[in-house]
This record gives sequence, structure tokens and C-alpha cells, in this order.
Amino acid sequence: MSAPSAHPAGAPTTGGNETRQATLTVRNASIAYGPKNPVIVNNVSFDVNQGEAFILIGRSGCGKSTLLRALAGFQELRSGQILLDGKNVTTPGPDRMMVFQNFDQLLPWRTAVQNVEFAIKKAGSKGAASVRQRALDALQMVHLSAAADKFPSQLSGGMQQRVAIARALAVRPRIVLMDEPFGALDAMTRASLQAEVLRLHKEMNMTLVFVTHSIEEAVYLGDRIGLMTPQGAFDGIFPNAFQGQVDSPEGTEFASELRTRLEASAV
Amino acid sequence: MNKPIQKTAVRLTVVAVVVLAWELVPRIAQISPIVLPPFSSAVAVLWERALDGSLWQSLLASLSLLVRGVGLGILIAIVMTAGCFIIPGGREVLQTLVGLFNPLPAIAILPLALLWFGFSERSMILVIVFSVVWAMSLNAYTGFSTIRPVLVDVGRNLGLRGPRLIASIYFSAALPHLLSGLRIGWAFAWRTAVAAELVYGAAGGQGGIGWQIYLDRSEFNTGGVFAGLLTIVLVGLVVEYGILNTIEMRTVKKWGMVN
Repeated sequence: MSAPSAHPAGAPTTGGNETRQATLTVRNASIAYGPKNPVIVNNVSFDVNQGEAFILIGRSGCGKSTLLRALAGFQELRSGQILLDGKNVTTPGPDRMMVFQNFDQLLPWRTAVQNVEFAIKKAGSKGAASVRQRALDALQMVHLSAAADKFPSQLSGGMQQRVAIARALAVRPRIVLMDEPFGALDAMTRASLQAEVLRLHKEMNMTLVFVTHSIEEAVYLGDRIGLMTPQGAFDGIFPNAFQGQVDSPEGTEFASELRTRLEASAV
Repeated sequence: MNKPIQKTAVRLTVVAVVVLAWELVPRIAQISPIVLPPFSSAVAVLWERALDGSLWQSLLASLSLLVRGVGLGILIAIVMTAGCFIIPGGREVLQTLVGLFNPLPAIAILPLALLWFGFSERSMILVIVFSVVWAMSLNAYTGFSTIRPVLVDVGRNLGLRGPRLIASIYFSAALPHLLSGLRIGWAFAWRTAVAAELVYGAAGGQGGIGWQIYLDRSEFNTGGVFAGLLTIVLVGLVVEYGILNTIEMRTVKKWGMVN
């Protein structure tokens, strides 16, 4: 059995590809709530390349969601840098669209299609087709055309998350950030949405940073998996050869190796 | 058994019993019509005034003051609250102001308004604005501060900040609270408007419902006084059930924001 090959945090992780600029670059990022509190995210570095699905995994409270919020521009860094296409990220913006865990992230006073239209308009995203058409197209991508005129309160949790994904994609961001978007869904709905995200990632060459605490989800979706320790540092960044095949014998083995490593890091 | 129908039946029964008692008790007990005229004579006065147009004149006078005062009050409350949410430290300023002025009955500042503006519409409108502003601000404040953080994040994610964020996220998200503020504010305003007319008479030359009651009282026209009271209740019902409930049904209830 081959141990997962870990790259030390901060080292280049895309062998032979260093000349190309990464879509997202995180350099020695540390985050703390307030100047006197201990750091939650500790000196983390990684790149995410165009079209790549990068998974942040760790236990509850390890700082993975905080790190994602920093990528979105909601959270200030104590030190370090976040670069999107080489430019410093300091504020939130529609070039980094976030999909949250909460089902209630849709505006309850707008229908599904109006939620997507709202995002397209407010983001000032330009396109050839009308805003309405683009919103409908985005809903079609997540197989929700039939629910376009329903209000969020009339949709199931899984459908609401689909709308949130459509909303994120419709504004054509440089990168999509997902914060445990399926954490509160039942197992079957979760599996179908994971398949949906993997398909969109491949078909649209969607660049993705995805936070989860589920190893199966990480192996199913990720091109690379960044494993975080409870202290908020990286334990390693693992290339994943089993994307979409987490159920294969090798995928299962890889997942269990990751689990061992994750559990060891918790001590 | 259908629950809403049951409720409606109970309500109608209560109304019928009150009306019936009002009609029968004065007749059976032979109470003087100057003390308590039966329901039918109050309705007769109301009908007569509806036909000769005086009812509509006094209604219009009261409601026109009310609509202008409430409208201005809501506008001031919302602008003030939104401003206090944009400016750092503004929330404390707003809370302090509401804390100071909310307990003050609006009618109590009428003498001051009369000193400043005399017996004019402006005095009445000032008092009505005062009666609306604090209740509305308090509710807008609650609505803005209890907004789901994720909705604010969604707005910020799209690049919205400051006034644009308030306009496109906060307002709609706070609508359930804004509507209950409107409910409370309008009720304060209506009472205040009637009370002001009752105590100080007509302002600005046009007599409203309160003024009509005042006149009827001085002429011992008890039927007229009751007709005025009925009008006040009816306006309350129309606004409460006809207007405010309809707005709620078509907005926050339809959207599933309140049950």
C-alpha cells in the first residue's frame, strides 16, 4: 500500500506547473478573531489552479470554514496573503461566489429564478442573453427548471441548495466557494447533489474550493485534498486519484488512509 | 370541523351579542336616549350623515391628516433607522432616542405643537408623526438587527455595501417587523389623531371624526357620539383587516416569512 504523498504546506503542489499563475493563491495565511486571541488558521499556504476542485477537510473547529470565509473576503487575515489571479483579496466580491451550508441562504421574498436574477443583476455580470434567460439556464443546469417560480419556502432543503449553486454559477465567478453545502441534507439527496457538483465541475471546468468534514465527500469531489489539523495548520495536501470513484477498493483504501491521518492529527 | 370557519363563527356571534344587547337593554330598561341610545339610533345617525355627506367630510379630514402623518412618520423612521445602521455607533444613538421618546404619549406634545405652529394642520401632523416614528423605529431596528446573517453575507458576496445592501437585503428581510411596526404605529396614530381633535377641536378649519364627537357631546346628541365611535371602530377594522392583513397575505405570508 502506498502512503498518500503529502506535500509540506507552502511548497509548490503542482509539479511542472509552477510557471502558470494559479487562479487562487494563499500565502502564509493566519487568521485570529481579535488581536489578543490565538490563531484559528495557522500559516496556511496553497494554490488552486483553473478548473481544479480543492477540498479543505478537518474536524469541527479546525478553522476550515474560517479560512473559506477569508477566501470570500468576509474575514480579515492576521498575516499572509490571498491572491485571486494575482490580485489581493480584501473584500467580498462576485468573482468568488459562496454557497453556504444554511438552506436559508436564498432570499425568501424572491422565487428561485428571481434569486438567480438578483445575483446576476447585483453582481453586474454581463452576458449575451437576457438576465431572465441566463437565470433560467442556470436553473436548468441544476435540473430545477420546473421550480423556477416557486418561493424558497416551497422548496426542499436539497432544492434550495441547488438554487444556491445555480445562483453562484450564474454570475460566472472565477471560483466557487462551498462551505459544507450538503452537511444538513439526508444521505440520498446529498449523494445526488455531490454527483451534480462533480458533473458541473467537469463540464464547466468550474474552479472550486469545497469545505467538508466528510472524507468520502472529499475523495469523491476533490482533485486535491488539504487536510487541516485542529490547530488550523495544514497536515498535508494530497492529490486524489479517485475523484468520482470513492466506492472503488482503491478509493476506499485511500479514504481510510486519510481518515487515519486525520484522526492521528487530532491528538 | 373547519377551524377558520369556527373562529369566524365565534367572532360574528360575539359581535351579534354585543349589538343585540346594545339594542335591547336601553329599550327594556327604558334608559334615556341621552344616556344610552339603542344601536339602531346610532346607526340611523350614521346613515343620515352618510347620505348628507357630512360623514365623508369628517372622515376625509381625519384620514387625510392620518395618511400624511403616518406616511411622513414611516419615512422618517426608516431613513433614521437605516442611517443608524450605516453610520458606526448609530445603533446606540437610535436605541437611546427610542428609549427616551417611545414612552412619551404623542398627545402630550400637542400643547407644544400648538405653541409652535398654532391651531394648524402642521400641529396635528407633527403629533401624528411623533406617534408613529418611535414605534416604527423600534420595529425597524428589531427587524434590521435580527436579520439572518447569511442573507447579509449573500448581499456582501455580490459586492453590495452600505445603502445598496440596506435597500436590497435589509428592507425585505425586515418586512415582517416593518409591517408590525406599521400596525402598531398606525393604531397609535389613529388614536392620537382622534384624541387631538376631541381635546382641542378642529385644526386647520376642517373638523374630523373627533371634532364631530366633540360637537355632538356639547349638543347632548348621544346618538351622534355613538355614531362617531362606530366610525372609529369601523375605520380600525377596515385598516387592520382590509388593508394590513391583505398586505401581509400578499407579501410575508406568501413568502413563508411568517406563519
